[in-house]
Amino acid sequence: MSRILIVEDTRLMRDSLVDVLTELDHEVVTAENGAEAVNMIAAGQVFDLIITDIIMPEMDGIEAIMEVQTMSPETPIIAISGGSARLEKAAGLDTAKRLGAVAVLEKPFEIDSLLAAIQVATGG
Amino acid sequence: MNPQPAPAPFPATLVDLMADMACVLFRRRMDGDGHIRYEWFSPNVETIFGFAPAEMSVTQAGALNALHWADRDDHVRAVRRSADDGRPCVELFRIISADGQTHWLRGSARPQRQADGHVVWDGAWMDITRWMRAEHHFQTVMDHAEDCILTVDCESGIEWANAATERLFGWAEGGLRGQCLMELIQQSCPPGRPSCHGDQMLACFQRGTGEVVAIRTDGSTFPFEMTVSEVRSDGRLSLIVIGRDISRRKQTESVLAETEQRLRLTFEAAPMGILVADADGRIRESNPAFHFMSGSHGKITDTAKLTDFIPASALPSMQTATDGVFCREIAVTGPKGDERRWRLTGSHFHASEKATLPSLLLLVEDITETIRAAEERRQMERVLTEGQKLEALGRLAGGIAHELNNMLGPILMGAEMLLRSAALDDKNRSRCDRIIEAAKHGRDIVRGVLAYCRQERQDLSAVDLVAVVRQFSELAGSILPPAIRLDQHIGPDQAMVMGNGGQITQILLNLANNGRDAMGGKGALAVSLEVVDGDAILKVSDTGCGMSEKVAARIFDPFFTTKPVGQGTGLGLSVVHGLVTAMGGKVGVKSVSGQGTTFTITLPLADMACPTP
Repeated sequence: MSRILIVEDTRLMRDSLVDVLTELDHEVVTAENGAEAVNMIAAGQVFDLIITDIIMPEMDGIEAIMEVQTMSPETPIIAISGGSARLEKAAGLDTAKRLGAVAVLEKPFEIDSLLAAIQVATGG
Repeated sequence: MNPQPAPAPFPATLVDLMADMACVLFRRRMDGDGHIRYEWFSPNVETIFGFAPAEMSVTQAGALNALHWADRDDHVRAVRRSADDGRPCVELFRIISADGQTHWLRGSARPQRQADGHVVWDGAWMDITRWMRAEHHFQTVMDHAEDCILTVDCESGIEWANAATERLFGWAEGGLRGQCLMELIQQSCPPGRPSCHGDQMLACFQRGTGEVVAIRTDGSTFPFEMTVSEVRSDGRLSLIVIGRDISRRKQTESVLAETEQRLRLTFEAAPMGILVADADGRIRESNPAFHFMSGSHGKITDTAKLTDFIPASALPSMQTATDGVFCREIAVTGPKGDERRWRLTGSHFHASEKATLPSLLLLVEDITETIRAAEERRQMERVLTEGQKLEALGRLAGGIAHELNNMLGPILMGAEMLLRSAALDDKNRSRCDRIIEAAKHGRDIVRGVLAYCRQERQDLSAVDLVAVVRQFSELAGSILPPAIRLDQHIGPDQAMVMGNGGQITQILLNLANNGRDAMGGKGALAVSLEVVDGDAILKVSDTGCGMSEKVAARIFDPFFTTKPVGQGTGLGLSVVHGLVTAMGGKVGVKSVSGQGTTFTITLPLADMACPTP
């Protein structure tokens, strides 16, 4: 139903997300890091939703979110994180939220949680 | 040779009497032509001259042959003068007796002009050889003396001065006779000056031994040590003055005194305590540094012993003194009653060439502060290490958590997808359920471990930031290199917040470390504390390289680091952020590339009206 860009560097996680979303009839495109994602959007690709990990090499989620917000502010973003790199609440996700991520998810999340977040993000 | 005239000119009784006194009587005649001859000698002339009266001959000039050749001319002159002026002739000469001995004779002869124009003297000569020899002996001794010797008479001033005096003061031979002693001394006559007459004259000079300034004839002065003693003879007062030039001695004394003073000043100025003790353990020398550290100022008497201040067990036995240096640390009670540690360094030495037993030289250093500082440093390192360990553990937990969560995701979602998409029999359904349950359990475990790590650091209590900042400044001195200046500014007297003192210190240290790294070893780190509108505001600034806006925006992100691989994980500031947030505060950063960075931590002041839980 939606064209979703998944930005995630861990292969297993990425493949798992692709599997779940594809089963739910979404069109899924992947990027391995923030830079790739930004390049895609800069090249003109349009997405209905972007799901991005926070901690990645090259350009991580936060920077990606910022760039994307600049380039296509109407695209909703869901941030996900293996989180707790620090010992408190996943402040990476807090930052993501502050920067405009519509929803945040802590890994590992159940499929239902993912679906609920997509609902919130896309309003559908 | 003249025959004796028959009648002796003197009565025999007189002749005998004179002979008793070793005195020769004679009659001398000068005729109208000026020829001098001797007409008569008393018989004892043979005893003294060694010639019989008949053998006494005269020279052409009229002097006795027996006269010492050097005295002949003078005597003849004296005789002729006496003949001219009719006054008694002074007889004073030496003779060489027949056996070759020199005798001194002294006498007088009165002239009488005769009708025939002759002059006749009746005279007497006394053999004063013995006295002359004594006088000469005395004179020789006096003139060989190195010291100045003078006699001063109350009436006539200096009576006599030896050769040394004349030499030293620059007077000609005999020149001092009759001078006042004041001529030789730079000393003004006493006020109400006595009359320079009689006994009063001698009142000017102090009896006994003393030092004066003496003057030479050329006006130059020198230090003179003199002993003045009184002699009364026949009720007449004289002074005997014996003295010497002590310039050289004074100079030596001065050099010695200067050397001694220099050594003493060095000894007194030494910043280490110095003690010198005899073989019997008594303290011979102690310096101010030691008095200060032992509180013994003014208390070290002649009988004070080394063991009064230093336990005997710490000292090497005097009997088994070795050549080596010994060094040990001891614990003592300081003057204020507190425990001090002293380092003793000592060696044995012989205090004088004659000393049979060695003395002990002891250097005493109070190393209490040094040890304390070292202890504090070790403790700080331990704290830092503990903190670092905790941080490392936290990092490890965080890293593992991240990886695990990334793996649990596929496991969980994979099993869920199986349940959703596949037609499973009960057994496989169960298997999927189990996978899901295990994955969730795994998630709980990870979260639990992290929560546990988090929990350790959540003790909050009322903390006075003023004390924390002060304590931090002390500790910071240890971690900052000397070229980095630490400026501290604390506005309020007190700033109570709800937090964890140890964590706040950890935060400040984190920021200080970052600042230090940014400054490359040189610069200034400023820590300030102010209270504004119910908030405590802590600032840590550095004069380092600063950072761009882009970097500054990410500085609190986990794993974000500007340091090369291996030099930092980038967790420090994210930890700071987390801690501050947990305390209900905010942390921010302002930075200008090339100028420096300021981190600002804002913590709400604790409401002290409510009691802490």
